[in-house]
Amino acid sequence: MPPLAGARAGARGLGGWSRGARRACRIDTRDCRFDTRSAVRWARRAVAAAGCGLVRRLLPGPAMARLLQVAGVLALLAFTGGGVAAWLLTSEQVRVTIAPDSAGALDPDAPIARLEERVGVLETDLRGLAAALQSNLAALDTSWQERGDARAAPIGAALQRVEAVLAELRARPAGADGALGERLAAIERAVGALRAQPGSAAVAATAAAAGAAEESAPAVSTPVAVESPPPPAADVAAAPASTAVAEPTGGPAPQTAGEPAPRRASFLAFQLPSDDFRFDERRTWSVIASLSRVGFDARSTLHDFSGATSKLSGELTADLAHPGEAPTARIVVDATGLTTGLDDRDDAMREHLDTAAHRDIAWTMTGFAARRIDVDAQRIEGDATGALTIRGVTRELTMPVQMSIDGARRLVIDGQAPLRLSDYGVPVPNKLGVIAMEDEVTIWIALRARPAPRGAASAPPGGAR
Amino acid sequence: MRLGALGLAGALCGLGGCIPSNVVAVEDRRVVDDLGTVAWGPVARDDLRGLFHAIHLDGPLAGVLRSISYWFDADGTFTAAALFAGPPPSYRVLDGTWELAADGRLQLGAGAEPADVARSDDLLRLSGADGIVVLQRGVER
Repeated sequence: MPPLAGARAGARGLGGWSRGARRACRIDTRDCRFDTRSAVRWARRAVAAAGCGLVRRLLPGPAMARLLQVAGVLALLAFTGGGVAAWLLTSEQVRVTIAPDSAGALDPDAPIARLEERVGVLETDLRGLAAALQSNLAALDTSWQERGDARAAPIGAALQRVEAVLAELRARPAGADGALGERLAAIERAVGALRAQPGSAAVAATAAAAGAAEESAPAVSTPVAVESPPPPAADVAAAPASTAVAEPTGGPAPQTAGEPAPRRASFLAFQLPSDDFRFDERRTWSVIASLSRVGFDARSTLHDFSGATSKLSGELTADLAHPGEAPTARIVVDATGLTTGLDDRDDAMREHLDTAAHRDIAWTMTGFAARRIDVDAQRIEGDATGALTIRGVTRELTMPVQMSIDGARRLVIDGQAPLRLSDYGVPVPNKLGVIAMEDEVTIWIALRARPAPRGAASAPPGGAR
Repeated sequence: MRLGALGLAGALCGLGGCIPSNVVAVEDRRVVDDLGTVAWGPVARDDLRGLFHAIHLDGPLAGVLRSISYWFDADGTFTAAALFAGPPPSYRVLDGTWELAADGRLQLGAGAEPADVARSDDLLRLSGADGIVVLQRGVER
């Protein structure tokens, strides 16, 4: 296309655009309905009209100028009125909601909710703890009550015995025996201590020991030594309130029967159960064969000799502070284990004892009469009476014995008594009437026993001692 | 005849005289632990290695223990088995570390009190507030 023709076509295009614009700028007031689409459309037309006004202003003609001014004013008024009308129509249908700007924003109420939840959990736990504590306290109260009841009976009995002895002693002529006053004072001190602290087992044991000793003493001329009644301060080992305090230092601790209480690790690395050994507790002791020996001493025309063995077993059940209260004991010796140092003599001895038919020599204690009870030193002296069976023949035998507690808390029992072999049907050895053994021999015991576990039968001796 | 009888009696008396009296003295009737005469000395770390069995328990621990055995390893660990009196009697075992301090005290495990330890030949003596344990070196089979 030549340039001149292009210019003409451009002019025609501009003219066409101008005519279209003029037609578009005609204002039709009938379209001014107050709705959004009409307002928009009307606004478009107003803008077009404003554009047309600009065009018209470029064009000559006062009428056109006036018309455009009027149209512009009307357009502005219509635009403003349309906006106001649109706002009035839609204001009641619009709800303003302020939403969080993101999902991860912190809820100001969340920490409070968590705190409330934790408080609720704590309250639940606290209620559970309170219930458990109440239950445990109830069980503890029941346990203490039962324990107190169990202790009250022997203490009451001991108190009655002591008071009976006191009454008996007061009835005797004053000054009949020099030891009477001392004994009376000692017993009165014991009674006073007993009344002052009825829950103290050690004081009760001392008073009861005094009473038991009194029972065993047949006459005032053979006084029973009750040495150093323990002062109340010495009773902490037996006092329930003190045991718990003393437990961490290795003292005795409350212990359920048959259920050793665990404690700290000892130097052996093991946690050793507390050993609440008490001298005034009825308990079973098992003889430790490897640390025990029984035997006899015999005299003959030419030389004296002894026979001994550690082949034995035995048990003793007693309250050492009250050994006269229904003690039981049984010791069984394997007669084949007796040795005298000479094989020929041992053979002859077994033949005389008829060990093939009567292997065991047994002694069963039936009673104990205390002569001396020292609770502080944990020593007892007295006469143990029992039935001794040798070669199938049973005779009563009374043996003076001494009992004590050693450093390993073992019960050490020593005693001896004479007996005649002929009483038990044992032939007295005699060789040609020249070498004769005396009929009377002295039998002796040197035993060590360990406390058997509570509620269990004695176990066989172990390897370690 | 009389001379024969006298001779026989004399022979028997002479024979009897060859047999000494062996009456056990009263103070010797008890079974005595020979450990009282043992000369105890300090312990070196090498003395502790190996297997030990208790041959003597003394003190409060004797009331609750029947026996105890240890194996001390060279790497500072140990294992032990103790026979508790019960009821019923039962074995318990544990493992841990051992350390011999400069003051001669043996620490068995972290929570235990240190033990005074001494040695004599194949014997080892551990002592503490709960008593005394004498261990003898055992034979590994």
